[in-house]
Amino acid sequence: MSKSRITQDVRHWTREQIGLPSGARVAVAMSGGVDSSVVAALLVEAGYDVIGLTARLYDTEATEVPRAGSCCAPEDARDAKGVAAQLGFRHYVLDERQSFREEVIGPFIESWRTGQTPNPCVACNRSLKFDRLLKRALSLGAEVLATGHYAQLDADDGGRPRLRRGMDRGKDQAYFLYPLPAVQARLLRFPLGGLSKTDVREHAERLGLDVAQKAESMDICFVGAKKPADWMAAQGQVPGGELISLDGTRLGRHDNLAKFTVGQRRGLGLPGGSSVRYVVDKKADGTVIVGDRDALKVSTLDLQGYNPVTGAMPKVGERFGLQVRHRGKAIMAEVEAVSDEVLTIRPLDPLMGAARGQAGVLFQDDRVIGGGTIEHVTRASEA
Amino acid sequence: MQHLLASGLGNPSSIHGSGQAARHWLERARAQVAAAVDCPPRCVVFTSGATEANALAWQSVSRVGTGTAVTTHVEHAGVTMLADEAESKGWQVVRLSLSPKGNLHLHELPPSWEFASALMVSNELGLRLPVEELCRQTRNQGGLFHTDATQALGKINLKALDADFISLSAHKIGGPSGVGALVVNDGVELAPLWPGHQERGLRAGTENLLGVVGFGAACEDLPTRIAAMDRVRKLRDSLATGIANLGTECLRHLDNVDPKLETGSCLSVAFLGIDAADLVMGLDIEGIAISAGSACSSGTLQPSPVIAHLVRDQDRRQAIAKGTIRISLGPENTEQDVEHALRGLKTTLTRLTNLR
Repeated sequence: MSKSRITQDVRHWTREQIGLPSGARVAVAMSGGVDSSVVAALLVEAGYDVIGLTARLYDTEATEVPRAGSCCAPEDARDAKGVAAQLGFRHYVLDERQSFREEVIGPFIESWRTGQTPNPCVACNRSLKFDRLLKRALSLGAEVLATGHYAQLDADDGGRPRLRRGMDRGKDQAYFLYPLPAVQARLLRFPLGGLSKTDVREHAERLGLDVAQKAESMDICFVGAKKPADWMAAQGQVPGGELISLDGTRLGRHDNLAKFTVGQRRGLGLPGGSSVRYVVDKKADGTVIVGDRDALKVSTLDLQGYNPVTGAMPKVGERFGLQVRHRGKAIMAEVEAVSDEVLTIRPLDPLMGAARGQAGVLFQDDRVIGGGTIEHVTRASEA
Repeated sequence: MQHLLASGLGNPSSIHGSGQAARHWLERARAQVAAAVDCPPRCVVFTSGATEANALAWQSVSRVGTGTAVTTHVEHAGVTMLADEAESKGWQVVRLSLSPKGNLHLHELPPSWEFASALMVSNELGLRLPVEELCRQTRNQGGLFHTDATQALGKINLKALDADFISLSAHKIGGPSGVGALVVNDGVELAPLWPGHQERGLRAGTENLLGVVGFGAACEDLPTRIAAMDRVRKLRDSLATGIANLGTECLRHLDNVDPKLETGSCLSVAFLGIDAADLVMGLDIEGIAISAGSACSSGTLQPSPVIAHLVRDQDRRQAIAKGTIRISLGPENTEQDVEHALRGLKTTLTRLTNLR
């Protein structure tokens, strides 16, 4: 196929993703990475009036060497600006450091401190992307905000938002997107949902983007290459405590609660014995409870702050796929109780461990039904 | 500049013909800039801009020994940082404050000082500081006086200005970006920032010939620019009236200040409860370039310390500084521009209000 033909097809495809005529003003949330840069470039190619927005979320420590594969750090804002300058669209850097500290970093610290395993990416999507960035985009006269997320977003026949897993299951980010409010959903676009990472890199090369070969961002952005536990220790914020067995026997001490997460087997620092031991639970006072694999088995769990992405709260007895960690497999589960914003879920297939603070997301096939923060996990052994 | 580009550029330090031609253009520009402040051309040292000129002046004074330096709370960030640096090297720095009516508190002067540095016209407020008086008192102390006259050039006739160091910048008068000058009084010793022979050994490095020539040419237009300031002030006043009538709660900084105390080209207004960054972006989309706070390295905006200094109300200080925008006008602007800006502001404010 000729090059111009490819370009023509791509333009058509891009306009289908956005659902607006060319010339419409579209804002793009740009992290400085390949994905969101490609989104911006595709939109420019398709003839949209593109505005790039990059949120500055935190300061890199002066002593820290800029690292590859970070996201939303000052140097990434410069990369985003570079793409905008290269392609000739307007780009603004928004100072969101204070809101990020209050709404993402603060709760992250508090969550580790109180024995949970936080998911800062969910909090960032909720407060930064779906709220602050979107508002900024609209205030600049943009009709929609596009992001580089790997998830598919459109509407079902009833006009309700339909959020589905990204076609590239290796990159799929639907799990992190469950806080998407139904009203905001129609103002957001995820054009990469139907593409693979390979497609995206090819587009980056085809469009001549300087960031085409930039490394992936995998870590928690503000924690960086450090382990979260080391980062927490550096904040001076994390309690030590005792390691005890299920029957209350003291097994030893640890110096940092953030070193542990439910289901973890390695790094417990316990003398070797006959049985393999896992972290079964963590308490706010620093206590880590250790047990065998069977002890992990979840009887029920509560999803706090449940957001119904489809617009409707599930009903008692309905069955969905339940995913409790990033890259985790969804297992069959049943809704046991529904109250204001809290859903009690009973796994029907064995679920070996769920960490409080992580996201619990309900799926129907690849469609996100809703999700919340995991709270009050009841283990089968206690039930 | 066009003539120079077409004829090919020599290095003003070279012996050959094109080098000598370049030298001719360089010295011609030096005379043009010197005429703007009525000084002998030999007193003009070309730099990369006012920031470098400020650094050249400050570091000439502060690099050896310690002493007391006087500056103000409304300086451009470049001088603020130089003052902080001098302080870290052991200098005592006294920063004079400003009354909400725009008067510099000269009664805060220390018993004695060796160096004073004050901007002539505030970049954020258009306010004229009493640099003549500060210069006189500094001289009486036997000290040296520096003024950053970047914002004054083209707005005020500087021929009578007397200071030991004067910083100037070309792009504020329609010249190219990246070129400026430090005017140094005869008999004042200047220490170069790095070694080399150009500019009589005071500023080493091959001269930015195109920039310098552009700077000189822009200086030829200074009388026209200065004559236009009455018209600019009228435009500014009609913009101020228009903004007050927009129906959004706002607060004009230095409202009702004595007209003799300001240039009339600058309007600084706080929109309460609104983030100035939103207005800057919103107006940019509408094709209007305004400013707010100070741009930091990554391109985000920080609330201006100058504005924060002006606000006496502690509780509202940060909110007012965060909501403050600055609109600068020049001889290039027209009544249509004012109307365009008011329309853009209304559109942006409406969008922002609807989102709350």
